[in-house]
Amino acid sequence: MIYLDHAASSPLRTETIDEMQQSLQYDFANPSAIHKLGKYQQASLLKIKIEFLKSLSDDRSVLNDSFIFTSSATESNTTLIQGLQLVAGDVALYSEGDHPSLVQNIKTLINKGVSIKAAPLNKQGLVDLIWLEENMSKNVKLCTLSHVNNHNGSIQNLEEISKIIKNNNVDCHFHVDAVQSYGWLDIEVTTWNIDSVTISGHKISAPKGIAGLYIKKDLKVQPLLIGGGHQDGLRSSSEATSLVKSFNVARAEAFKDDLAKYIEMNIHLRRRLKKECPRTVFPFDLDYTSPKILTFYVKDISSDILLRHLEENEIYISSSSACSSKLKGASPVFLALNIEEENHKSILRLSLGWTNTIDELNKFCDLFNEIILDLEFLLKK
Amino acid sequence: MYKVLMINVDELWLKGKNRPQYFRAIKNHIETVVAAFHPYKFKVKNESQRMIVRSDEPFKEKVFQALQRVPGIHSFSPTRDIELDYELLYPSIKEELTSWGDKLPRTFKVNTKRTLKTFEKNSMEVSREMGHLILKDFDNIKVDVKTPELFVELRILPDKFFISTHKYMGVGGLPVGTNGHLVTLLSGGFDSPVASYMMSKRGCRQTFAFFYAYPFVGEEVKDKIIKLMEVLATYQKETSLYIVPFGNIQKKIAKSCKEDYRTMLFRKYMVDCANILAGRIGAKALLTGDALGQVSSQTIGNIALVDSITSRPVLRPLIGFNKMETIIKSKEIGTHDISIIPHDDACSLFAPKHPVIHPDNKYWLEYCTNNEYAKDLQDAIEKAEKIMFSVRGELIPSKNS
Repeated sequence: MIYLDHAASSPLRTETIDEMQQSLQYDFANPSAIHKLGKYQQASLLKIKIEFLKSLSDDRSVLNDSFIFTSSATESNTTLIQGLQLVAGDVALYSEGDHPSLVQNIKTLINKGVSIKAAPLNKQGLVDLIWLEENMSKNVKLCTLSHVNNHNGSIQNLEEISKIIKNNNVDCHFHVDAVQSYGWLDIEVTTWNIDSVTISGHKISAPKGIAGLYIKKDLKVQPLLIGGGHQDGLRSSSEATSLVKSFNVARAEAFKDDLAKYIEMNIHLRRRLKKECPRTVFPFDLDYTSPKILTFYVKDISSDILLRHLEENEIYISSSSACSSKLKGASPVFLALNIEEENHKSILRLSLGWTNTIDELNKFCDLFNEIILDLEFLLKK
Repeated sequence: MYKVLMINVDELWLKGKNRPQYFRAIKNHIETVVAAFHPYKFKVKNESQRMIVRSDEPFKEKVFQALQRVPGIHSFSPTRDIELDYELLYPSIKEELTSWGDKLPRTFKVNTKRTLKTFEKNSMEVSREMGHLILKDFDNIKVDVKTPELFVELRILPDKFFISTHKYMGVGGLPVGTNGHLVTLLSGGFDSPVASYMMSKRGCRQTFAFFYAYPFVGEEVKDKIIKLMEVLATYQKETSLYIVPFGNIQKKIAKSCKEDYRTMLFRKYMVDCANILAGRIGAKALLTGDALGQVSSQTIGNIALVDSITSRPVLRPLIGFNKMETIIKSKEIGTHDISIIPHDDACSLFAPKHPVIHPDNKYWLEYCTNNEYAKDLQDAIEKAEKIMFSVRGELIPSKNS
């Protein structure tokens, strides 16, 4: 099997599984229990929380901020976007190219009378900074953005964007979804003045079911889950100690990962595919995108058909499209990313992670070229 | 409430010496269907060419809905049964009519039949007296002996009165299994599900074959076919679907033949494959949703071509149907809303720009004789996934999984 879909979910490392297994065995007590078994877990949870906070900034003041563990990045984004309790007359800025847990949450704000504005993206999927400057009025109360886009890997310049936001309106909340960047790309919540950050476990080889939400000190966020007041009242629910512990191990491992390896792999893939299968198009440059995510298409060949041919050979990539049928299919995400509508049905996303080797990528390229040749008869002359 | 069902059979009276066999088949089907939806004891009896189902617990609407799909049933009436005490008869009739609520029709007629000839009153008297009482109690209803909207059916049996006012129409025709076994070539469109229904009500047992063009189409097509099967199985008595892997065979054909012959050759090899399956399961004929001239592969020339290569007859019940007629039928039988779900179709993916309408016999024969598809087709049947469906239209989990 060759797994090239790490941006969707990344396989667990042995260290993470071991930690999880141990914790499942020993951390059976309720972490809120006042006896020793509970207190022991609380202490570990606190220590881990500090590790996560430290991973988001080199500035020690970050330790005064909040960090909560949630069940998923979607929960983190929902908690934040809904929890800010924007009111009629407020404005929220977002990007149509982002994950639905941002876009769809922002869209619900319309019902409360909030105006929403989608920031245009350039050819590389980067936010138009001039537009941002022009649209940062006093009414803008929330700005959400992915650090790395999950579809095409575009990397936003958060430092610069935050400056534009805060210089124009210091009260505007800047929320970053760092799900695809966390663990390999630096983020500096303190100096860059970022108010909240979502991260996810299963993208960095932790199990599914664990994610995190960073919130700057003193910011008011109404919790989604009400009850016993766990995690500073921001998320009632007994903490999932075992998941948190394995998330922490995954985090430590992710930060050890060698970024140069992915850059090399990405360049190698682009070079081979372009050369051996000239019909391959790479709409986004490596200079502006994550080396771990490679978006491409073969004109006039449906991504789903390619995906299934690869799947037959136990190679797994993603077509980046939720819509299974290609009958009428413009994707708002790809439109936002400036991909011509006629090519939406052909878009493929390959994403790299710790398991991958150059050897695997070569096998992928060999097979991919073979499949493309095999399917040439489908192309209408 | 209704602890008795009176079922009228449809065409069974046409049968001569074979009649007992037909009655056995329909009785068995009724038993299976009732058992599937009525979790209590019940008995089905053939009483003077009518099927009577009795239980100690009232039958529910689900049983009625299911029986409406049993081929061979003309109609049936959920029936109240009460003690043979004339004093009790009208109160029960009143209760029955009251249960109609606002929907009670405006005109009625009481029909009484007497099996117990020694009963104190004759049929006419009973009808008249009950009609009179109804008129007294219900304001907005009149008698109409010629074309009443409502029949109040009364039966005087040796030990019971039967009362029924509801009549459900069945699909009619002949009981499943009395007219042979077919292999039905099923696709996700409108036609083949309707064709299957048509032959269910002509008493054909069916085994279904779906030619799955994976990897050119995905799981969603398979899911759609299973959804269709969940409906079609309710007109059958327990049936199965073979999901035949066909994508790579189609690719092989598409790459090796003249482009304009693709669709016709797909068809030929699907029919060949269906014949192999038919041979294995002992089916006598194939069933397709062809309608003459609907698409290029259904022209008279191409239909003749298929018929010239098939070793079993191909039944085409929709041959004279207009598309609209098929669509209307699909709404009636419950497959329409599934058929409209969009899906990728391998045939249209491979479709030639100008499909052949007048096939060249020489080329056709040459292509069909010089190849090794026979083994591919055998393999495809061998590898086919078989899914069983109950009379409830539900998947029956296989014993191996």
